[in-house]
Amino acid sequence: MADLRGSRDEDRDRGQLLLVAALAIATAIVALVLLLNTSIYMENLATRDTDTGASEAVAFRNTVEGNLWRVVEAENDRTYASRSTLETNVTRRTNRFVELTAARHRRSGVVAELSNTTLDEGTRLVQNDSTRQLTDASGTPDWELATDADGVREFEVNVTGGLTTSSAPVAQSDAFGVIVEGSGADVWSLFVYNNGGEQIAVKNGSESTPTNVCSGGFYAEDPRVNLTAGTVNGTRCSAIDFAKGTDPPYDVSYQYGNRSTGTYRLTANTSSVGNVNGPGPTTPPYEMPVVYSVSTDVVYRSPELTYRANVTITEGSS
Amino acid sequence: MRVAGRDRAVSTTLSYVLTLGITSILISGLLIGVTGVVDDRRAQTDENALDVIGERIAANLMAADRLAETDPAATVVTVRLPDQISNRGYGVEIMGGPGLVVVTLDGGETSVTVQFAADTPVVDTEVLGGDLRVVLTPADELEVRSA
Repeated sequence: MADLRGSRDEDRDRGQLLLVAALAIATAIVALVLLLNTSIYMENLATRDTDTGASEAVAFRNTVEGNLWRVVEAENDRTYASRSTLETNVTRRTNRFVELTAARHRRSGVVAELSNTTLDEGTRLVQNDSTRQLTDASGTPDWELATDADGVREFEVNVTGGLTTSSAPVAQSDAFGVIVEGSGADVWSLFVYNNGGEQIAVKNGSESTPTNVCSGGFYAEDPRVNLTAGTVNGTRCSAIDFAKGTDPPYDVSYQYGNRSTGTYRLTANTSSVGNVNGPGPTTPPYEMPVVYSVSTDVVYRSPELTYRANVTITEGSS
Repeated sequence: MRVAGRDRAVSTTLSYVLTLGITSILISGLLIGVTGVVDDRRAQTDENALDVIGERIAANLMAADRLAETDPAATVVTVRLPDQISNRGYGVEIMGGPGLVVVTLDGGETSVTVQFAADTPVVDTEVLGGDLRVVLTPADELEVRSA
């Protein structure tokens, strides 16, 4: 008689095919799930922000470049008598400025700071007595105002009278003049003299004789010449192009300062100045220490970005 | 009755064999189908992943390029990327001339090319996948390095 119940061993062997197939399909499903996981991760990565904060870094730099000079200039205008006091206060205000600017970035875990900050020394020379001759503190008519200046700015001379009469254009060399000697002994000069009325003559570095400039109706009154801006009494005079044809560093001097009276003011990128009073506001002419420019590294560091740029901040950069 | 005796219970055996055979064929078909689907999905996923990685590298490279335009002393942009895709490593090749990022999965059968545009010269390099850095070199060139 056939064994209808079957043995126990036979029972165990039954359904092997289904079992193997089920396992294979289960493996495939697991593989699909893993792929799905990878796919979801990639979708997540794809939709993540790729912004590394580059615009924030540039914004920080622009804020520093655009505003730091005002902070420094405010201290320059406070007429210090001591350079170290000036520099201490400039440094303190700069740090405060950066602290305020960086606060917004620090909240998002970013280091925004200035490092390697150096202050470039400058000196402001002032004569504010319009009846005084343009001589040095002891009355010497030919004298050097500033030596080895890498730059000069805000140079304005307001000649108020006492000009030597001279016939144009040969004898300007006898008149009051501003002499700027560049590095290669090239000389740029500007003369103010009286030839039946005030005259201005300019000699560029490449020229040998001065030429009368900007005569027609430029100055009904005493000429106020801004040498660095190229204006006379506020009117543009393009022939006055400060230190044209010469290269820095400049030696700036006056000749025949006793042949004119007037006021002047200039800021030179040097601490080496001629025989003047001061430092600090006192009897003219006097000198005042100023910060000519600030050189600093703008640093912006986030987990994704390290940005460092060296910037020089000076008048006109804001 | 010898012949008749041999034929007995044949239909039981036959139906058993047929059942086994047909089941095997069906299951084989199913397995082959599933394997095909898995392979397809895998290739598609790999390609998508490489594409995403290539785009991210290109985007950060261009961000670094924009920063380089501001004439900085140093620029380092970090690109966070997975070390592996589907348990396989990958390589990144930067071609500065034509402006291409080529991301290739280990084994070489899957590769994706993404374009970028940069004004700063980009150094030709090959790096392994994972976190990368885009560095502005002292020669004012952008270089992609492993982080």
